[in-house]
Amino acid sequence: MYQYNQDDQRFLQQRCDQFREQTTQFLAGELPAEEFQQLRLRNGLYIQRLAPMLRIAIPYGEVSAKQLRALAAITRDFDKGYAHFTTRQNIQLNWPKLDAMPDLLGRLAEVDMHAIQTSGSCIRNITSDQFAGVATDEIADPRPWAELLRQWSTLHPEFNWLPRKFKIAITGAESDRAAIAVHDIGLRLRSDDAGLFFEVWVGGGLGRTPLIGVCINTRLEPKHLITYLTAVLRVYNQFGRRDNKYKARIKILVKAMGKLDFAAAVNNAWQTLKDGPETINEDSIAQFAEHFSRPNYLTLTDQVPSDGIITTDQPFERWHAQNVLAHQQPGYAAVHISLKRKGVAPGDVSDRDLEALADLADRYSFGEARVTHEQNIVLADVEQTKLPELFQALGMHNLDRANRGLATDMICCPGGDYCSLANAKSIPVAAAIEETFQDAEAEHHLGSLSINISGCMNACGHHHVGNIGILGVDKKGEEFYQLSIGGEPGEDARIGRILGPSVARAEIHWVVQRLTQCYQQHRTIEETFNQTLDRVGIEVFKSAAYEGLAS
Amino acid sequence: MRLITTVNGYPEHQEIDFIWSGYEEPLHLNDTEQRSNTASTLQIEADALPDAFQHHLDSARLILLHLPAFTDGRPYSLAAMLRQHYRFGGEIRVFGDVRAEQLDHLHRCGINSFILKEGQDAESALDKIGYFSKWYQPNISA
Repeated sequence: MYQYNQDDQRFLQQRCDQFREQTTQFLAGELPAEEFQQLRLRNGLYIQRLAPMLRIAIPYGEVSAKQLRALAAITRDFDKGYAHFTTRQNIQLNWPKLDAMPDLLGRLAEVDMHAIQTSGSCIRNITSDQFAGVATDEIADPRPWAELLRQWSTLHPEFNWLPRKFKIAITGAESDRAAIAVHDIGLRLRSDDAGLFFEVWVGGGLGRTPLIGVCINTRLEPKHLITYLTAVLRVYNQFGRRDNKYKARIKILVKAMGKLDFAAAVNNAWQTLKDGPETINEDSIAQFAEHFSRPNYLTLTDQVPSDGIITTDQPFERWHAQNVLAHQQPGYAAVHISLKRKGVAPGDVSDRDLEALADLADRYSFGEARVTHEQNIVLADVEQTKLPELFQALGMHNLDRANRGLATDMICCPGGDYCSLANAKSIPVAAAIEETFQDAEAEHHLGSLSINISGCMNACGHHHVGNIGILGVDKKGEEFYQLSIGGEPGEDARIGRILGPSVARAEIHWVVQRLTQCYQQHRTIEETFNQTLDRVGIEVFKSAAYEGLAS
Repeated sequence: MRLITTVNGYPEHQEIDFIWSGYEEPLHLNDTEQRSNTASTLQIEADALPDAFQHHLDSARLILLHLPAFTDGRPYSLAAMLRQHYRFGGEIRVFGDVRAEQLDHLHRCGINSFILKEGQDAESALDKIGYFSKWYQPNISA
C-alpha cells in the first residue's frame, strides 16, 4: 500500500496544527460558527443528532494492521469502543468530543491517517475495487491511479468550494465492483492494442435524483487523467447550480446540458490544460505503482477441494464457497469477512474486532486489509492452505459468517439512530429483516440478493441500486419505508423502480419477505432476482408485496 | 502579493471601468471613449462568463474579482482560467467575503491581491499564505 514519505507526514502534521488552531479560535469565539462549520467538515467532522460524528478516510479502502490497531485504540480513548464502516470505504466514529478532535486527528496522523475532505462540498475519498491487484478479471491495478487522484484532490485550491460534494470511483477490472456508474466521476481502466486507457463516466449519483452516469470520453490516455479531470471539475465549479443544494450535484448539470454539450464544454476547458504541467509522465506513475507492487508471494500451486486441504466440515465448506474468492497468484485466495452479523448493526465493529482483524491481517495477509463499499472487510492475500485455520480464527471473533452477497449482507446507513439527516431508522429494519431468515439454509437457498437500506433520500445505503431498496420516509412523524426493486450497482447499473405506497416500520420486513418468496416462486433455475423481475413484471411482485396490507 | 485596505471592504467605485456579470453586456462605469488608450479596470462577478470579457483582457490593468460568499468556488476557477487560459499577467484582486482562512487557496489559484472582509485580522491573514510546506498540485502564478 502507499507509504507516506516525510513530506506527506509533515503536510498531515501541519493540517492537524491548522485545525487545532481553528478549533481553539472557534471555542474562544474568534471564528464564526458558519465559517468553522465549513472548516471542520473538511476535516471530517459533522455535528450529529447526539454528538459529533467523525468520518475517517480509508483511501480506496486499503488499511494496514497497524492502522486498524490505532483505530481500535482511538475508539477506546475517544469514543465508546466501536466504529462503523461506511459505503464509501471510510470508517466513522459516533461519539467523539469536539474539543478532543485535534488530539484525535493527531493520533490518526501518527499512523498516516486523516479525515481530510471526508465531508463538505469538495472532492471526497477516492473509492475503488476491494480486490484491486488480486482480482482474476483485472485489466490493470487501479490503486496507483487512485493514490495519484487522492494526492491531486487533497486540498486542491480550485476545487475546495464546489457546488456540492464530489465522489470519484475507479475500477480496473471487467466486473465493476466500485459502482462507477453511480459516482460523480467514474473511471474505468481498459486496454486495447494501443495500451491502457480510461473510460470517463460523469453525472451518476444516488440521493434525491438517482441517475446513472454517462460516458463522456471512451478513450482517455492515462497521462491526461489529471488535466482532463481538472477540466471536468472546472466546468462543474463554474456552472453547477448553487441556488438549490438539491440540484447542485454534477449529475443535474450534465442532465441539463446534455451529454454532448457537457463533453464539449469539458473538451474546450481541457484544451489549455492538455499536455500542460499536470500531464502524468511515465516515471511518476511508475513511482506510484511501486507502492502497490506484489507482496512476497510464495511459489505455490492452487489447491482443489478434493486433495484433502479442504475438509468435509460443513460450515467451512459453506464459508469457502460463499466468502473465498479466486486470486491472481497461484495458491492464494482473497477472503471476504462479513460484518453483517446477527445482533450487530451492519458494518459496525468493536475495538476488539478491529484488533482481531489487525492480528489476522498480520498473520495471513501481509499485514493489510481492505474495506468494501458493501461495508465488509477483505483479506486479499491468504494462502489457500491456511484457509481452514483462518476460518477457525474468524469464528472465535464472530467474523465467520458465510453470507457474502446473500440477503443478510445488507448495505445499511446509520439511519435515525445516529444521523441527524435521517427521516427514519435503518438499523432496526436490517435487524428485523435478518430475523425473518431463521437459518442459514433459508438464505443460501434464496441465493444472491442485495438489500439496501437508507434512512433518508441522501441514499447513503445506496437503496436505488439494491435488488430490494428500502428508503426511510417521514409520514407525519411516523417512520415509513418506500420500497424499490430491480436496482443494480455494477457494470449493468440501473436504478430500482418504486414498488408502491410506503409501508410502516412494523410491516417492512414482512413485505421484504413476501418479495423474496415471490422471487423464489417465479424464478427459473439460476435466474437472478432482477431477471425474474424483468420476465414476470413488477405487478407480480407488487401484488405479492402488498398482499394483506391495508392500503 | 498585497493586501489592500478599503473603508468598507469593497473596491472604490471610481476606479472601476467595467463590471461583468452573467451573460449580460458589461456595465460601463467610466467613459471608455476618453479612456480608450489607458489600461482599464474590470470587475468580474462570480457568474461572469470569460467569453464575454476576454476581448477586454489585453487592455486590462487590474481585475477585481468578486467572491460573493466564502463558500463560492467560482472565483477560484475564474482566477485559474484567467491565468492559465487567458494568460492574464496583471493584478487580480479579490474582494467580497474574503476571510483569512481563504487566502492561501485564493493565492494558489493566481490571485495576487486581496481586500479582506471587514473585521478580518490583516496581519495574521497574510501569514496564512504559504502555511503548508508541501502542496500536491502546482501553483498557478501571475
